[in-house]
Amino acid sequence: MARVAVDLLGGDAGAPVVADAIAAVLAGDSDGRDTDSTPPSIQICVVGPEDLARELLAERGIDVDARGDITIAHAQESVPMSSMGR
Amino acid sequence: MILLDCGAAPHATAEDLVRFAAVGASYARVVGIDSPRIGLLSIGGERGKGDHLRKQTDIRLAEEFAAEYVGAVEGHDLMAQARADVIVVDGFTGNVALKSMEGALRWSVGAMGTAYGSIEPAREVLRSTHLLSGASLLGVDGNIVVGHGASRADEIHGCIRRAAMLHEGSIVESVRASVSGLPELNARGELA
Repeated sequence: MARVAVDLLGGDAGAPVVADAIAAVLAGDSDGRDTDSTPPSIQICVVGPEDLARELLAERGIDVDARGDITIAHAQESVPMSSMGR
Repeated sequence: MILLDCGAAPHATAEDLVRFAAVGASYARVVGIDSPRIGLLSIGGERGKGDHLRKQTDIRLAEEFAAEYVGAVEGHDLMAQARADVIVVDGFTGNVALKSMEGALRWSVGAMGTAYGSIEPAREVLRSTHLLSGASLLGVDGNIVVGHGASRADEIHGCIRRAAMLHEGSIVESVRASVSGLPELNARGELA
């Protein structure tokens, strides 16, 4: 079992796109790679604002409390694009 | 083809590039390339071409990877994977090369659409690149896949699956073992 943390706010297109990807992974959809092989067993940890994560996942039919393969790590802060690295 | 570095380390030394080669070969084995060929991205295939960094790196790669190193490769070798499976380069040049390929692909799709009356067949080929989405951040004490900022859902899906696959292949332990036999470096990235 691989546990993968996913940044909910990490993409330019916003959180809904990330939620779509998470839903596809949890549904066991193929990503088109190695169709003959068994896909890896994945547990997702969504990192981001919890309320937003719950809302987006619920819209996609995912009840976080009822499943054993997804958790949310609440993270309030975000690093804006204008932030300069040090 | 495995290209590293693609931007994480823009100021690389020759010894950094030697480590990129070790790490890249390790990654190649995890993804199923048992005997990876290592190349150095330069401006010509002949020995002795390139700037100081490329000349130094060529010598060191030949010393450290006598069996795997195939010498210098050029930009037009990147997509074909005919000459090398792992291509090492400093992060600045690697990032320019990566985005040049992205731009060339997008332009090609548009040009084919104009020539053949439909963009869809070419766009379908471009969509298939989601299988290759994301870059692995190798050499850190963890398994990290960094997606393109503009990634679509299928591409993020590919990144998540890749992270799981690399975990199952014990990529961190494999990379650690690959660099453990290399000489120590000082703070400037040079041989101690």
